[in-house]
Amino acid sequence: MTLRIHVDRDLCCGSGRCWSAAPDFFDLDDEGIVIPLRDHAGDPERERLNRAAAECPTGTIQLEEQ
Amino acid sequence: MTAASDLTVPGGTIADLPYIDLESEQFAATPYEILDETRNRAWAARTHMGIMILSHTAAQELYADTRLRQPGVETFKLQGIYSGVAYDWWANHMLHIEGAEHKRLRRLVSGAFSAKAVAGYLEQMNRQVDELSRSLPADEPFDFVEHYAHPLPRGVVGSLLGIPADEIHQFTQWAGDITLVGPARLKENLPLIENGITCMYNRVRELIEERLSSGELGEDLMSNLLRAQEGGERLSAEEVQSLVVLIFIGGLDTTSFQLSGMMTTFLDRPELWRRLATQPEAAHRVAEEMLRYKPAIIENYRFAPVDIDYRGFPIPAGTYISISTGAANWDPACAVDGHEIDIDRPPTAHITFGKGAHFCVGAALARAELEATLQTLPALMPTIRWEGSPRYRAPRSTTGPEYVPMSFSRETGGAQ
Repeated sequence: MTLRIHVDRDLCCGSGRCWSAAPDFFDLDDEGIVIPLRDHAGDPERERLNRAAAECPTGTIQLEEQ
Repeated sequence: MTAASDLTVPGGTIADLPYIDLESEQFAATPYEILDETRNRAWAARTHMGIMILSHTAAQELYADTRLRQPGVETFKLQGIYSGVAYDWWANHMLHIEGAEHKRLRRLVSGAFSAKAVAGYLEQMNRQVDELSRSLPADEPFDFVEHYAHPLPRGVVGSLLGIPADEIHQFTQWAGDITLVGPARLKENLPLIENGITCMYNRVRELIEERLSSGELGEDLMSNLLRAQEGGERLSAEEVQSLVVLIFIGGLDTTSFQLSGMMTTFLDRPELWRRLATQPEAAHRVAEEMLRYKPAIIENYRFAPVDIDYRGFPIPAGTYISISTGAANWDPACAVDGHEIDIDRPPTAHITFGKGAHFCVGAALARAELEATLQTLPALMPTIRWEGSPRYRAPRSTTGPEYVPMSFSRETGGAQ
């Protein structure tokens, strides 16, 4: 199963929780706003990505099963 | 995120909700326990102020509900205040603005507070933690609040903003007056509050002038805001002053109460402190569990400007809504056996820093201060003990211990 990662930068408030949870998937720009690095993930990465999505305060990160 | 079906909002109205007496002695003594017990009975409670949201799912949803507002100047108007320095500051600072205007202000400061930026301050912060912890007196009683929980946050946020070290004490006194702006003490303290704001604005303006006339901009936030202005950002002098005041105040009581609250928990459970002394790498996880277990922001306020239907439950226009971090963080939907501290607990979606566009901008900085404290202090002072009874602020809004009499010994005193 793969996870498709959707990021809406417009909603991002710069908390950086995604970077803390999965720095290989999410970077932060000079304003602290998310820069998505990858748009899909496999099973071993699921837990970290679920955490990044759950802890995002604004729902910027949405995960889609594919 | 919990599934929508995890929350059932029964029929009825506010009148059907259980009542919590927020001003009782019992609530003052055991607020988190009472919130937890009430939440086991109902998703929300009734208080003398309005409605209090207890369920984790409902708290998250209502934090993100754009129909709700911060109470903002409603409190001022209720007390007959419609203008003035305090009114203007309160009406116009970042927490009370929404939409595109809020986003513009937020993005000007979010870079300085991003998790990555904070990672860059760690060396300096660790120096401040180290200096403070080595100044604590061994083998004699002292107040942890006075000697550590107060000085660390004001030193950290002060240097981040660019306030000179020898002026931080004065800024802290003004901040103490400004925070009298809470609803209970607003009217009688208005002159003090306005004086605090005016003095801080004036001094910030002078510090800005010094930077502009010398042409020397540093790496502090005030300098960064000036760079943004020069770079063409629409940012008025009033907005710079307002942001500096908001951020300085935002980084004080919240963090110091979290630090002192953490210490009272460890004083009651010294075996957990000893574990940290041998496992400094657990500091990050333990800091997070402390934020969940004893949030210094025990509640956050919202206001219904119009009639709201929340999952079929009517919230009439004009209702004050308290979102209870204290209740939501102990909800099984957030943490299994949430009433227990578990320093091995995996990360939870606790709401201590809020949710939505106004999520605490200082969260990464606060987390770093707690983590640095837990990485350093336990090894330096492995045996801690109470030296009297703590004194707590009333459990409303921002709360925690104001006096923590303790002592420590550098000996581990027995088997490790």
